[in-house]
Amino acid sequence: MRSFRRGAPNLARRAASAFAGLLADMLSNEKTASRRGVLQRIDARAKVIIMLALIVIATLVRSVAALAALYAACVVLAALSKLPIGRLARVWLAVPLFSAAIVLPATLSIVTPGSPVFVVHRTNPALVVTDSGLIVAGRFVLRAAVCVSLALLLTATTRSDRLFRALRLLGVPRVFVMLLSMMERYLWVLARAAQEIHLAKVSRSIAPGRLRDEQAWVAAGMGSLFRRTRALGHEVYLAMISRGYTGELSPPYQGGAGGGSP
Amino acid sequence: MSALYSIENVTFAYPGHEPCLCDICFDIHPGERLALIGANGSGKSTLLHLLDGLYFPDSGSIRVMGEKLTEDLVETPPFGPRFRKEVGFVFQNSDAQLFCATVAEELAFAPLQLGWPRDEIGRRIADTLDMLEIAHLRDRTPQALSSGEKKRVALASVLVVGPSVLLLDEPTAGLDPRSQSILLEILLSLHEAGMTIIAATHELALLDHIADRAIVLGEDHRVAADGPVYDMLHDTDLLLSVNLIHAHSHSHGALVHSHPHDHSLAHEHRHS
Repeated sequence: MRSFRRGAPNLARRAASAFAGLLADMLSNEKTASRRGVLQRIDARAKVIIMLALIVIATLVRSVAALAALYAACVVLAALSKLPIGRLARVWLAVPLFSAAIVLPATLSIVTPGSPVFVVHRTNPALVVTDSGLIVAGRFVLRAAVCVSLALLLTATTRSDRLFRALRLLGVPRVFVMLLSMMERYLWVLARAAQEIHLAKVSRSIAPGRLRDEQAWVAAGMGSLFRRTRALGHEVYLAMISRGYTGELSPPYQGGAGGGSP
Repeated sequence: MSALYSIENVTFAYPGHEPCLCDICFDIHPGERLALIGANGSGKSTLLHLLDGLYFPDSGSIRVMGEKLTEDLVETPPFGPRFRKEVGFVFQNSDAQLFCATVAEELAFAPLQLGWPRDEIGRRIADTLDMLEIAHLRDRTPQALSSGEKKRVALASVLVVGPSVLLLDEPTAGLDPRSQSILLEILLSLHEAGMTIIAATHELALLDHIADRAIVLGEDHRVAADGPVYDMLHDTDLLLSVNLIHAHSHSHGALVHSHPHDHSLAHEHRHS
């Protein structure tokens, strides 16, 4: 009987869990967008303009205090909009950690000269972390955190269809919005398909296989998903042709009777 | 009565594959309820795609509304938009058919492509949603719908332009009994209103609810039989030969025996 190496990572199980997480996050956005919070009450068009303006401001402002204030404002807005703090905390922790890892070299004297704060390695010249470097890194981390938080506040408090309608009303080209909307629509379908592929594998696995086998299986699963994506794309195209699409998209329907505002 | 569709010696193969339709010939008359039945892979879905002008025969011809269906013809006004308005196709995979952000936008897609006025579109959407009793789904996203709701919205997205011909690919596949029953009632009322209904299916148990006439496609991708549904359902040799029913052993209490069954859950038989 074949023995399984203890502790080998089960990529299929992890992938299934990642797809389940993606679906849960998307579902969560739909739910939080329908809550009665502060940001949910604002018209989607106004929200898009405000959030874009704040993102531009966050990328231009140099004061760390101002960025920290913006970050704090995001936290307060999230609470007032009844967003699940646990899920947001995941993003708020992940983004600063990820951006800090990217910007880490900028703290060193060889990239950003300045007054030494502490010595990393006693070479000649010594490798030190500088005060200017820390400010640059802090600014970068805060800026990334604020921008991601603002984007998160927008998507978590606005139903996707209203967000797309707002983008159209704000003059974003309709082909672009249609593609964005279809991407969002089929991300659901394909995430579910991917989850099913992986769950089918997990349900037939007694114990984690060898890493190489698991990697080969994940690659095969990805290939199968690409094939399905291609077939689905063709079918969607046929469904569009069947309903009169000739390669030119008509101006979008804005609701009409009972259509609801963005 | 002149034929709505005349299919003459149609042969079709997907590029690089063996033919999946061979020498198909039959007519469809206005107001008919026709079922295309056959085992998986017999070519019934492909035939629906040909009837909807999505694929075109390699040889032979399809005439519809007095014209020979060609790629140029369906892409050119005035025939193209008229054909797309008159012939609606409900795909088997509702996820492929529901590509817009909300149900209302889904229903608006076809009328917008056909260039209808906005106020007319709003009115037709409201009427169609009411007719299918799905007005409460109007602002929902497709991912928030159940399978039965998706199927009804897919049907609504086609009916909104008022077609006279409805093509359905496995309309009841994957639906629970209540959704199946709702869909069958809708199809019945559409037929009573004069619509031509052409459905591809391999569910024999629902066949007499969907159609009056059946065309049986064999595994050789040719027409094996064409006639009233009742006759087809009672022709055991025919159904066995096209792989729509099969014989296997099963038990009734202490009695174990073998006889032909269709692929559905429900079947009737007598023991001698």
